[in-house]
Amino acid sequence: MRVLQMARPTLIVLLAASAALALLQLSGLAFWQGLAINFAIFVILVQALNLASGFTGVFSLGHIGFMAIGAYTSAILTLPLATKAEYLPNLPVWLEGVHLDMTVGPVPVGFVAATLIAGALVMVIAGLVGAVLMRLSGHFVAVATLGFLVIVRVVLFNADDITRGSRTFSNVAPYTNLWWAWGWAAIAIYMAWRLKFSGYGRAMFAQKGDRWAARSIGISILRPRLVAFVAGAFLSAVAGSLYAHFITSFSPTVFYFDLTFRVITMLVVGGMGSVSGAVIGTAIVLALAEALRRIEGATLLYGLGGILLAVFFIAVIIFRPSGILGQREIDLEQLVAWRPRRGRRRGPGSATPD
Amino acid sequence: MDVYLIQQIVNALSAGSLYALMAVGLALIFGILRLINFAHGDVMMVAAYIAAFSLFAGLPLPVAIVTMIAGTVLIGLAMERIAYRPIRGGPEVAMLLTSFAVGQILQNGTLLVTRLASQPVQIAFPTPDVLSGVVAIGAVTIPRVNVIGFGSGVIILAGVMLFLTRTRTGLSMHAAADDLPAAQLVGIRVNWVVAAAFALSAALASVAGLLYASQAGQINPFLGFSPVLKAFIAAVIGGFGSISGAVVGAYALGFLEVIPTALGGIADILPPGAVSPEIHDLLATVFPSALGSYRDAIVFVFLILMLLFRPNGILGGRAREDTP
Amino acid sequence: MLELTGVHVAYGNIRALQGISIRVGAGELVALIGSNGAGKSTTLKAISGLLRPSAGRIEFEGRDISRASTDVIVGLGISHCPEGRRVFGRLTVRENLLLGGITRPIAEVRSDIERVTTLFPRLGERMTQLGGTLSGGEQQMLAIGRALMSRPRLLILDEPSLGLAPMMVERIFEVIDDLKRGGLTMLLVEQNVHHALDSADRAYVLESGLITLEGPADVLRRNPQVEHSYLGR
Repeated sequence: MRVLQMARPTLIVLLAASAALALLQLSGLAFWQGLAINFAIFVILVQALNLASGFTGVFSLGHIGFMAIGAYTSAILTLPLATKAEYLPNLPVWLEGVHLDMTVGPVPVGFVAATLIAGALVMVIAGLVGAVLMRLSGHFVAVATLGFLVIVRVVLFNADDITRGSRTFSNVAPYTNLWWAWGWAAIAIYMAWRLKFSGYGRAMFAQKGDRWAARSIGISILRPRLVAFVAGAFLSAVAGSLYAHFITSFSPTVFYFDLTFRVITMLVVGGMGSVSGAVIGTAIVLALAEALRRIEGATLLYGLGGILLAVFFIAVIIFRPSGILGQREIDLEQLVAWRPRRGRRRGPGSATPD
Repeated sequence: MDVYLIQQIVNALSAGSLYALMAVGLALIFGILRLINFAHGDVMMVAAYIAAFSLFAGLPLPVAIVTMIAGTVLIGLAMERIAYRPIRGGPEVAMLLTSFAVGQILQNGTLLVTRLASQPVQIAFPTPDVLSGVVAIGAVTIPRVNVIGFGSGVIILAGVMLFLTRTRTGLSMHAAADDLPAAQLVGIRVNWVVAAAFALSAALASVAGLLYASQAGQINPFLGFSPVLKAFIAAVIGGFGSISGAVVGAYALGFLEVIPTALGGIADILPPGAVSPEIHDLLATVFPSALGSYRDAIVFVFLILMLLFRPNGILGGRAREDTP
Repeated sequence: MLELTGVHVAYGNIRALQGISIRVGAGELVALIGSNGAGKSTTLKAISGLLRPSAGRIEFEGRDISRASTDVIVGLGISHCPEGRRVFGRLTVRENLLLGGITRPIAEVRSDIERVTTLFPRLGERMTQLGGTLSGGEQQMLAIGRALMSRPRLLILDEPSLGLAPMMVERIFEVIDDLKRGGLTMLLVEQNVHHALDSADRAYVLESGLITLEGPADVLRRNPQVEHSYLGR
């Protein structure tokens, strides 16, 4: 009974969101459907960075690299045999025969499998990379993970046989729709939420607050950092797979610093360490970027949008450095009962008022 | 083979000078503020644009260079005053992220200005005559910009070293980097010293920008990304924050970078019969001709190894317990 | 010469100073004593401009300096020799001294360096050595020497004997007595209350951000409360 009561607000929110998605699906408004899918993919990316950076204070600039690996892996795995032979003739033998393009009824099980395989592959890579990099601290992690991003890019550009190098990778099946995108986004939000309020989450926030103090009471700093890094990498790979099957053609240039900075902006605006804040930050920055893109298009002042977004970002860092929510959470119960701004749920790391 | 070797050495020295000009600016500001100024590469990019537009406008080269340095210094000072001063002493990551945003502003601002000036995104750099063409020494031909780049780099860096160790302003920068509150207590005007450090680093970046653009022949608003990363690696190799270390690290990186290019496909360059077929095959496997295109990846793997095993640089001691 | 009136300083929510008033007359050596966290260093930092008082007034020679920046305050003639010495470890002894005189014309600085090395001959022998390689006592001498390079009319000393060997403590207090005989006004914070009260003309006792006692040093020394809390008798 108690469990049911606890879950009620979540259930209401889930139902409301599903209804909204169904309405959007029925409306046939292609632009808004596309925007909603983009929103979901960014929510996953921002939660991934939130796990890796917001929870632990270890700033990763490499997660877009994991996204890239996820996108290419899933795209290659789902390519039908006929297309593959023609499109990627020099593929290594063990990859030649793989074609996860099967469906069961309306469900593209091959796509699900490819996404999960991409996620698993990235987790292995992240485990190896993270075990090395998580020993570093502060901005040196940031720069080392940026180094990882550069390495991924160089490899993608040069591994012609597998990635087509700098040429566009197209012919990707358009599996991603509103339901897949938001289904995965819901999983990402749920993962972040569960992790934040778990024992691991407490350990992450503890070592973020004070590494030495956390260590002195026996909280290992490496384990929670690594878990967060790998979990974030998995979500990034999922986002990459969804992106690949949404946009259907892409090249390595997409997965680079501009996208990294966009995701960081969303996270910082929402509040590093807040799960609901990440969603709000994503929505705000996405809306702002879309509005600015239209202004650019109308005025032909290309570059203005980028300038204003960056100014907005600096203003947030100067005037509201902890973002909109800090580490706090919006309480779903309050939201459903329509009494906002009261009794926000506090994160484990914010025992003292900030 | 000898010609090839000499050309590679000159390439390394010339790249080293460029990285050193950039790395010194990074190290200077990091030393005082603990800020990794990622916008430094974009400052260099803006310098290349100011030089290009000055030359397009028909200004003689010396005037164009002065305009370039003055304009770049103004931009450096403005970014310190507007973006970095309000968060000085804040969390290191916040400062780093701010510098990303500053870089975005400079890139998009340049994009906007070139658009307004009805120029394409990528423009051909009007390389001045003194920086174009080649110098022939015996059988070796070297691009003149590499020779001038190396030479001017050495002269400018020597001047900077003298400034930093022989003048009160230079020593104040050292003092501020060593202990900021103590520097304040002896009466050093910290705001002034920080501004001077930004001005100096911008001026150095502007020279690097001119050399880079003359070498590349083309400029675009995003060209600063790779040089600032390289400068960062150079500074890490030298022990971050140390000025002389940054210079040493920059030339070391210059040489490190030519190694993959020089070794890649070395088996094909060797005269036939110079080595036994087995060694030839081994060389071809270990150093495939594609090795050169993986250069940046190799350099970054090296960076990560440096950060892990020698965070104080090749000259510094072994790994210390890093601070939280 | 120096007058603090009702000075408050806060770090966020923590009120470190809650309205203290202190006066230092020309030529006086005034000691500020109190336990850890009482607000002694905070007081000194407020005087030298490292911290801004939230309320109250700090006057130096009749001029309000409570909003002035540290370099201006140093230029006016207040020099603060900080706790923990804080010499520039990666600069040489000579460069440390040179920077101590940053607010003065360069021509005068050279002769002042000689003046400081006559006061501390040990520093003269180590001019080209890096500050970080000196012993604790030598570093303290360098810190005082560096503070004197700005030709202060008021010298602020924060815990000059902290962490030094007994021999060196004696030596530092000899120097302080010398400077006092030379007519220098000083404000001294010192854990070694015994020594501080021996050298000082007057003293203030600071507890939890408030002045609880003040008076001539030899009177305070016989005060039962001071004897009990600070002199351990």
